[in-house]
Amino acid sequence: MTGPVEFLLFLLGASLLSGVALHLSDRLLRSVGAIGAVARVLLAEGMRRGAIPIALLILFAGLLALPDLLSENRIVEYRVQSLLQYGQAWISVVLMTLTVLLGCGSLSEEIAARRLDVTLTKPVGRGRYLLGKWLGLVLIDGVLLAVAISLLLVLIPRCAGEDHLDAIPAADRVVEPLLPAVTDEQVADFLERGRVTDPDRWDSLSADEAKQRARGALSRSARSIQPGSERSYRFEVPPRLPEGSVLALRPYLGRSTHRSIGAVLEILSGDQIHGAIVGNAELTEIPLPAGPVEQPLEITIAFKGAVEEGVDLPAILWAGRDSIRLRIPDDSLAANIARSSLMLWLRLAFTAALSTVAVTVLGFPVATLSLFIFLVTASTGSLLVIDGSTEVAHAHSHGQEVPRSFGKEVLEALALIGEWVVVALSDWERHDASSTVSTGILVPGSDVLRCLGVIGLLWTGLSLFAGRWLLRRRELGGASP
Amino acid sequence: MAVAREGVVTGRVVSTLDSSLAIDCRNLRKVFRDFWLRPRVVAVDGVDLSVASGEVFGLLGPNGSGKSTTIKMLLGLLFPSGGEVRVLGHPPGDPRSQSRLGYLPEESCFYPYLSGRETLDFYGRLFGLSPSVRAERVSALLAMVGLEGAADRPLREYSKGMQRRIGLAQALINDPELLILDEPTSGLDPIGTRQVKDLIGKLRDNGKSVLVSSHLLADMEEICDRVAILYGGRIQEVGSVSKILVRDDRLEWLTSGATTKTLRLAREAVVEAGIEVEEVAPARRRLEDRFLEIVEEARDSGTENSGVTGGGKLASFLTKEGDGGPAEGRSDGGDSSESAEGSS
Repeated sequence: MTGPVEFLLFLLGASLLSGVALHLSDRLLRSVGAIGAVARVLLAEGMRRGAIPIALLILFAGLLALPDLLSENRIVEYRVQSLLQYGQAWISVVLMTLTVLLGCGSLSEEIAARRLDVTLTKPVGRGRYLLGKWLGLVLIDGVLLAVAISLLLVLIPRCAGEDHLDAIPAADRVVEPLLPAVTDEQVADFLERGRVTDPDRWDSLSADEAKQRARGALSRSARSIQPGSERSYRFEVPPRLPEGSVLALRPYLGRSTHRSIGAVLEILSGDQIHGAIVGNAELTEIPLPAGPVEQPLEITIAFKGAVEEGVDLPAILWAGRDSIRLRIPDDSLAANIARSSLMLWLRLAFTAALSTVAVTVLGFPVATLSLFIFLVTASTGSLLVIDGSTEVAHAHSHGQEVPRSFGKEVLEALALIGEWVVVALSDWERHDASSTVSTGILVPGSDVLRCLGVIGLLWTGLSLFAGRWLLRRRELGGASP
Repeated sequence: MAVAREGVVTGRVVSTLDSSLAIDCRNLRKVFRDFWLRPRVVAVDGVDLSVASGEVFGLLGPNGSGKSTTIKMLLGLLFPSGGEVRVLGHPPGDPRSQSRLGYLPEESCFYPYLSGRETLDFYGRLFGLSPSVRAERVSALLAMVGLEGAADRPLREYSKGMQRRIGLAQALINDPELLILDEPTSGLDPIGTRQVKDLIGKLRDNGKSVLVSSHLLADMEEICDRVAILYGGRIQEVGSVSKILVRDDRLEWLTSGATTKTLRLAREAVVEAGIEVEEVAPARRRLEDRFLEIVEEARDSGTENSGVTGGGKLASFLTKEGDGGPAEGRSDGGDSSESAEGSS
């Protein structure tokens, strides 16, 4: 996809652009007083000690190599999707690593080499000093992120090829069908019948769990279509459908149905009828005509049966979240990726704050290791569950009385803390919008605002406050004779 | 300020300290503790210290006597375990006193990747000095410490002596009222040592207070008005240098132009009076004086030398007739122009 000369030219161009942007950031920091002075020193440290240039080369070389690595994939859509997904992941990994190493390394060396002693005898204050370090890291991350994302946007059309520019995803707003709510009476009836027909299954569940499962089954059933019948779905859409709007279907045709088995559907939208053949768990997109539509938009799907004669399909179920929905083009890929990058920048800002705080108390090796463990755990969501907490939670869900004792109280408190950590970390994962962008789904502005509030303001603010508190209580100057 | 317990300052307690002094501390105490908070070392044990305005005060003592710990407590880097401290009328670490204070650490611990000019500019920024004042002071200080020729070289290329010089320059960037110098002549050549000693004298003449800690007793004897000798974390003796060093049972005569005959007559007269003469010998020059003469001659003959060139003249802004003090040079707003090189 790119020759060696092109590769080097891109690498040089991106590096030069980063250099210019970092220089401009340096000039910008000159107007921020003492905090800006501390940030500028961090910037100089990163540049002159080679951390930033090396990170730049790794970042850009990795991005430039991606199209070639993905060229084996012959389906253009998947190739572009992979480039977007892996590209954003690569940017995230390199910048997180740079932030942790530069953040922890800079402060720990200043403490060890007693540079901090001299700095803190000036009227800068420990909190402002920490803020300066954080600002420097955030600026470096911002500049590198902006250049890396720009490079990724340049690479996307090259990866797709001139003839397949339409394979580049935009930012579609997803509209789920409006479904009637499942009532408590319906749930009760369903459970009553279930306990008669399949007592082993339903009696083994707790009351809450049984209700939850019954509600899910009823909801799926309300959307499913029997062979030879039809069902109408209503969607709340804008008054005018733009070009490129589609009805996206991923039907579930039964557990034992092979992928090659197709079902014939007839779709009625307004006065237009489309015929479609859909595969089991395969994504099928049916284009919708652009123009004004009635509110809400009603789409009727008729299930005509299997494509092959003699094959018996029990029903079409819409099982997953992406089983039936409308995708309406709403924004460009560039704008979508910009929103996603802003969320990444906010997460980097939090990582920067956490780095400076951790090294205040832990020292470089332990702080770095702890931060990497945190980042890996938060990104993968793979958390160890405390055995005791599950026991308590399980007993509660079954409505049983747990005997009270000090040990149990402690365990319950631990379970609550664990739950809080899980929720907090799921927030971290939730604000990673890279897969949303790569599948062409709109990252809503509300998600960015939520990320700003939770991670950018709350988490980062608390970390910086904790760092200031800790640094103010730390003795410097060697602390022993 | 009173210290009720380690690290916690209780500002509401009425202080008995004199705020007009540059440094005033009473019963200052520092106990280092182990991980379990058990007392490990009593580094400073009931030190009373006062430094008046315009005074050069020396802290003397062997290694581990508590000099550096005392200085770090005065700077707010270590928290006292007991006692009361005021620096320029404020508790240690208070920005109001920090803005009028200069500090030269024992070791040169500056950013190795910044140049001399950038280093001074950075510390000037921390004091909130305006760009024009900063530019002026950075140039003046570089000239004063003889580093104009090496101003744009990174500090990692500086020799130890050059780093001490830049350290001294950074301590003076804010035109401080109080200067705390920890081993100021350590690592300096005799020229640098002479310049620093002269500089301290000139600063005193311009009303600055200086607290110096050093092992080099000859230097301290020359520059200090008063000294305190520490041992075991306690002050063993404090007073003016002349008072501490005077020996009532010894007398020295220094004469010039005396002939052998005159000397013999004088000696006989002294012996007749019942006074013992221990030694009569020709006066010797000090090695420092001879060294300085040789270097001065080489410089006058145009011999080139890398690194430090000249210097030693007090920067004009540090004199009473200079161009304004720290308050005059402070900038509340942003910097519109830039004096030093960019950092990146």
